Amino acid sequence: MSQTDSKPAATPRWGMIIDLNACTGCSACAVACRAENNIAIAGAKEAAYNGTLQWMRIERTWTGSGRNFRVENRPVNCQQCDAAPCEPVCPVLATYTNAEGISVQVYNRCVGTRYCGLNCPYQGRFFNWFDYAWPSPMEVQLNPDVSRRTRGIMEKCSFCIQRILAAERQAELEKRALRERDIQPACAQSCPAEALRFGDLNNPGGAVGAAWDSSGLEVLLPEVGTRPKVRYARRVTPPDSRLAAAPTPTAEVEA
Amino acid sequence: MKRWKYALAALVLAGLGAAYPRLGLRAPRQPIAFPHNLHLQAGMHCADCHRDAAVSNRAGLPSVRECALCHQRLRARSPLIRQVMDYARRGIEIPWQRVYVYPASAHLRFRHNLHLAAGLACRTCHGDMRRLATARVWKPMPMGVCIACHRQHGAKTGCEDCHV
Amino acid sequence: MSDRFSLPRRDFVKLTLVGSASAAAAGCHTQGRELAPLLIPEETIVPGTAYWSRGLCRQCGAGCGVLVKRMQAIVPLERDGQAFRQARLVAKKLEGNPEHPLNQGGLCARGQAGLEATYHPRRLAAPGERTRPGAPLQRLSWSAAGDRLRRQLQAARPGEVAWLGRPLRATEAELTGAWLTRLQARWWEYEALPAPRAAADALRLERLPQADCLLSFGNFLEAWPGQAGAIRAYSRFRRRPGSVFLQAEPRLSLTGTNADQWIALRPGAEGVFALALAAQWIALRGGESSVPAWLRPYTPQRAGRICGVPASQLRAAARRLAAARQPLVLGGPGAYAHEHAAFQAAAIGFLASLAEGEASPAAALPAASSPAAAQPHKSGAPATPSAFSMPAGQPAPRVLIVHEANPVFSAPPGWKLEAWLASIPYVAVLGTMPDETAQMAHLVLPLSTTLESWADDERVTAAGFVASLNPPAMQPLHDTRSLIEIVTELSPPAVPAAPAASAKTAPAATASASSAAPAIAAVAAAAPAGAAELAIRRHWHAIQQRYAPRQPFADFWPAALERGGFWTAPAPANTPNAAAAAPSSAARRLQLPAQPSALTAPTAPASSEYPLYLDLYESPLMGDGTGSWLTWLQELPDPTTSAMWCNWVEVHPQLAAKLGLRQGDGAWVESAAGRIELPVFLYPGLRPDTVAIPAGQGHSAGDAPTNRGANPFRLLADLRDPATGALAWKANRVRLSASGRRLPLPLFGHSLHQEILHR
Repeated sequence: MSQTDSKPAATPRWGMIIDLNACTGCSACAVACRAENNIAIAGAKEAAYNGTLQWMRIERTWTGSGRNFRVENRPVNCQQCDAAPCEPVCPVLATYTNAEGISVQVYNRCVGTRYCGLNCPYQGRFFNWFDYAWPSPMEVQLNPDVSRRTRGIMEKCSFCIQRILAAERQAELEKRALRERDIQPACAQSCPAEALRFGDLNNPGGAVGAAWDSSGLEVLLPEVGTRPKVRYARRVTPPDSRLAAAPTPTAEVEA
Repeated sequence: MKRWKYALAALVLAGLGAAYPRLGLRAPRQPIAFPHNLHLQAGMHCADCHRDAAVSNRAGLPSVRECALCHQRLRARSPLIRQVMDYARRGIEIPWQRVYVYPASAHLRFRHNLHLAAGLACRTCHGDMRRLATARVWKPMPMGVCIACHRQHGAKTGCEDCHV
Repeated sequence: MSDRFSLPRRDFVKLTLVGSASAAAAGCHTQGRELAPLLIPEETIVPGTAYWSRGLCRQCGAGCGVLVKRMQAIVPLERDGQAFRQARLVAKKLEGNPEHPLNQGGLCARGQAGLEATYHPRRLAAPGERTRPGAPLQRLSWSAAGDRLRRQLQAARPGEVAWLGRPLRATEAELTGAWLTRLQARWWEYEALPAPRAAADALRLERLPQADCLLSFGNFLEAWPGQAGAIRAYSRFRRRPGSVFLQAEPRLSLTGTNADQWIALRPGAEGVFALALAAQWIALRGGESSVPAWLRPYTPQRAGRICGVPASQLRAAARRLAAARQPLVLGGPGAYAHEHAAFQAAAIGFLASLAEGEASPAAALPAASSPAAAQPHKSGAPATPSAFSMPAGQPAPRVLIVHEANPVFSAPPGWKLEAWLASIPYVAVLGTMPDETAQMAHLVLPLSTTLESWADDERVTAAGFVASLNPPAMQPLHDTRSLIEIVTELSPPAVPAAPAASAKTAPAATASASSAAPAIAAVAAAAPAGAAELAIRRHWHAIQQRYAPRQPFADFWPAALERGGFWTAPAPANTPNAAAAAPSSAARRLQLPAQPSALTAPTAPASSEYPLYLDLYESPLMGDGTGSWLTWLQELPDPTTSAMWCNWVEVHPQLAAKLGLRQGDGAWVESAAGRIELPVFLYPGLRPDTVAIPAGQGHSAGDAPTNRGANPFRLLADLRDPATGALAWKANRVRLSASGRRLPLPLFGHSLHQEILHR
């Protein structure tokens, strides 16, 4: 822990490393995110139209073909791009990258053009087509630190900015430096596999900052040049060449 | 003819009524006409009841039990106090109506404690409550007012600092 | 007058505390006084500040430790018919307890969603009775409801009372057991998807972080009790360079998607496969001649034919296992949910002890490896139809109490459970949701959730004894009580005096006079939450006497509250036992059959009428059906298919092509027991001779968000493991036919999936 205790640089830059070796696809992160961020339930009807709001989701990537394939479970949230394609297309500047590198969504500015959602290559943005209900007493569970989004606005993962702001305010009130370990987004905190690591990229001694440039990391869709602040530790296949080279055959098909 | 005039008057009144909150002069009807002025003139302070303002995002509102604590003897015969005591006896909170309300579309997370820590007095935003009986919005508080003050004092002005 | 108002603020707060204490005492629930982490008077709660408490998760039977984030919120309440709103401390978010040895800080999706169970809009909110079948519930007070049940219990003769419920542990088991003993009641344990033989595997799973090669026959990452702990162990295993994971199962489960290799076994062939691997393993280690005679028939070719797996794949798996330094073999509930469960468990256990025992004798199974001995409180007998059918000479139950079980939804149709329930003169249901079983009840007693009540749990793991302690994190939202409160209320002598059955705790209770007696006496005065706390304290006094005899209870109890429980230090792994013995003696002990040919049809006999295997599996989200009440889980894309708000039948693309079925087409799945219509999901991770359906959906008693899809329990035949009586829920055969309709199948991530199907 001494690593993470070291003092981060003056202005942090937040990032996340997701270890695909550890992630099992259990989806705990997705539920934790829903509970923390007051994400509405759109309902079965909307689900059929792709209308659900899933800030954090598990992408199942199937590689191979026919009977030979491999499955990879990959948690995908807003990738918090340095060159975010969603930002320049917003006509009302409702989304921008703040000083700490978080692509923020300003709900009160958003007028619902949905350009940002169209321009996001990761499908990390979700639109409130309706005012969704929290049937009583469900509203009692709502997190008071996060607003309840209304109809006609876009929303997405914020790296749990409410937790970051709270930790920063607390540090300010206690007149001390921000401690990196005080901040955990809901997804990383819940992850039973500890596959999600969150930290300050400007802190070379931190868990994420130290590993950020290592060669085993990849970004999603590098060809679009978005420079995400979410990186994935590639799944390492076993050294046995037979297993690594030959993808899994399914059973012989019988008549 | 007369009917027509009444209808017009009613329409104008309805229009004004609809515009009233927007004028920033919201004064909701309270279940019990709480006299802020009397309490303050008696020497109480805002924080005696709104205890959490310095430590929380919300200023806080006392439970009816706390009202009853003083008023079980104090002015116990007044009809208003009897109403208060009736709530307390039944263990049911007085359904106070919120005075300062931001529309849901503002998505605002206002934090009292940060403002008090910065040295603001309650009256900077809420006015002089010694002059008011039941609370009402003292002056309109659009975002421009916030931003002007934030800029003047070098406070944060990022959107995400308040609208989360 | 003004001097009154100039009271120092501190005194003012003190005064209000007095007021609140008296007001709280007048309310329905009071909290224990010495509970430092709990006792936060309402007047000192700062809005917007989080107050954390520790507790226990009950979304499945694992008993993970949780942290509860509590904040003030305005709660809609009702008193004397008048609705009002009050600021209260309520649970806002659940996290895993980092100190708890079972989950070590992680919390799975079901556990996270447990929050919604407390705030569910359709929760049973007050006791109620039903005067005739199908009538709406008439609200009752708790005292009236208690009187009704007490009258019925008094009218019943010995043996005429029966209890049917989920497995109980710790204080719940102790109190309920004592009460049922006094009532001379029958006690049946009910689990929709029972797994009585998986306990040894659960213990073995704890060694996963040290393993370098894992062969798994089950879905340990998703549906065993304790997802979070299993996932944590798996992630440690996976982070070791060179770790290899082989998964042998008919349907590629979420667990299987994480494997390096999937071996698509025929359902029910796990045992044969394990023995064939064992034979290969022995041959690889000591040459062909060292293979015992009884194992020789298990050749790769022969076993491969039975298992539906190429012999080359079987050999490769054996080589992998033999090359590993620390191999680990895991069975699972699915592998044992067959009629030949005894053989499956013995074969997998044999392979496990062979591979692991020789690799590391020190890491052999701990002494408490038999399923029955593993858990401290094994409550009732498993519920089976033979129990229900009431052999002659035994009276039929007059009063049945159902506790947190929904057999009307999940029992096989052959049990005729609805008719049986309807024939019982008085059925009382203790539960949280108006489920199918509650709808048939004469009396409904609503339960508080773990967030709202005292609860505890205990289990023996390979690492030691783990007990979790759960004080209420919030006051009940509704007029509900916990099981412990109800039982102590219904059997009054249980609280002041020692319950008859728990002889070993009785001296503990008297011995507590030295340390905790005054506190207990103080708490005993406050009912009913006080009684629940007292009961748990007494149980924990026994735990302290047994596991921490030198620590005074006055220190033990607050420390347990602060940590969320009590656990012993990891037991030293120096208990070699028979599992590490020579293969031949192990085989003799296991009494394995000599010829695999006897096992060519390990599941229900193949017939032209029902040519397909049915792989019913426990959904990682819905569990056995309790999760489907929760919209958070309904709207969560299923981890393997990304489907939401529905269930489906998984069909291999080749089989679908043969039957002319496309994705989303309705299909009838028919077994000898019944038939249901489901949308087809084309799943390449499946044997073509098998169809798979997740359990949990298909409710009929819920509302629109809950009644989704069709209930696959309707397909189950009454097949059982003869030794344990547990339902063989994996051993069914079905046929599939197009229904000619399109059914909704909302998928979240279809694009990626389509890509692989059509390449």
